[in-house]
Amino acid sequence: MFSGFRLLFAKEIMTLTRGKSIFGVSLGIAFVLSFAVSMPLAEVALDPTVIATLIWTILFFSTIGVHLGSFTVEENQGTYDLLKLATSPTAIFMSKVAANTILMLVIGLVCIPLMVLWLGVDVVVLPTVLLVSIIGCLCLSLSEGFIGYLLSKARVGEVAAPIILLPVVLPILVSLIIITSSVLEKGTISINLVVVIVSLSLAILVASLLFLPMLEEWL
Amino acid sequence: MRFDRNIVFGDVSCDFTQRLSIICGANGSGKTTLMKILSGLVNPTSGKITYTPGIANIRIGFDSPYIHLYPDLTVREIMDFFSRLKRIEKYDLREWELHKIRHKKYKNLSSGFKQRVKLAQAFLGNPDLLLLDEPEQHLDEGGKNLLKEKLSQREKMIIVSTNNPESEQKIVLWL
Repeated sequence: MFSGFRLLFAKEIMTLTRGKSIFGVSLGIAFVLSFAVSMPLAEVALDPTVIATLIWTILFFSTIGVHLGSFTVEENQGTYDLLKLATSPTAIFMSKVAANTILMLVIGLVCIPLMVLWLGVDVVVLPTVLLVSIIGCLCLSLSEGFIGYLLSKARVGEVAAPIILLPVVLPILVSLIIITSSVLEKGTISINLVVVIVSLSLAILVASLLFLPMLEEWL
Repeated sequence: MRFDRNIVFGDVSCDFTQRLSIICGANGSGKTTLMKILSGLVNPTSGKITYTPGIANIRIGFDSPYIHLYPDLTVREIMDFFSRLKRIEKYDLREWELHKIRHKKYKNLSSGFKQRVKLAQAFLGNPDLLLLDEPEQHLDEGGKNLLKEKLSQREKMIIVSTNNPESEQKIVLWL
């Protein structure tokens, strides 16, 4: 089921980091970071909820286009068919999800410490925020990936895909913002919400593993 | 085979037993769709395809004009990727005269060389069944000669679709 996963993952990383989309990613990060940097300069103290929103805005919006696009582009350029002849749809799907999670985490590792330090948040909470970001990135990547896969099969354009995806991932994003703001403010994690996020991730993962081969036949 | 309410083709019955089979038809006659069905990528609306041995035991090489390889990868990277994915230990870029452009990105190649890379990818590892959809597209004389040489050297099954058959080719199926 996972034959060729490592190879596909390496290919995903190469195509993600070389394509034009990486400029979009950099631009998104630069824009949000410059906003975060300008606030202390203007002597505006940001609320933890705003900081959490900024963190997840960077992580989500900087990669969404790349991640969804990778499914659509693969389908449109016909390489998905070539991959399917050599490996399983599950391996293709998981490699894309893994590559996107890594991309999100790299962005998080750069941006989160910078924002936490710059916006005057207690450094003690940094490891917890990073832990939340790992769980959140995995959950967002899985849900984006599953929807991206379905939309690419339905031949929905790259531009329309994020708009269709947004209502699906909005509850996850809101939950992640609430968890992160609670960590930033009180240093505590809302376990109930983390359980919801982890359960959702597992449900999407199991659904992907079970239904992808069936959907491949049907779509 | 049907897309929505449009019937692309029907009543097709054919045995591919020869080493080289040619499928011929005009634009839009369903050649690519038939090639995708033969490769197992698409299920027919009705009917059945039987492979001997079963499709799980057949390694398929496939090329079609609708396929465009990874634009930001170099020729060497693309061939390395597909050879490792198909678990092929060795390949030679010289076979398709690609060694001089191995460091060039796919997007920067001419149409003819893009077609050569696609063909080289399809021929990788001498697959049991080779499905080539309009393989001569964009090839210059040198490329066409290379293709003819490769096709004549092969001992395993080849199915080629074209809308421009040469007079000496025996057409197995006319769509």
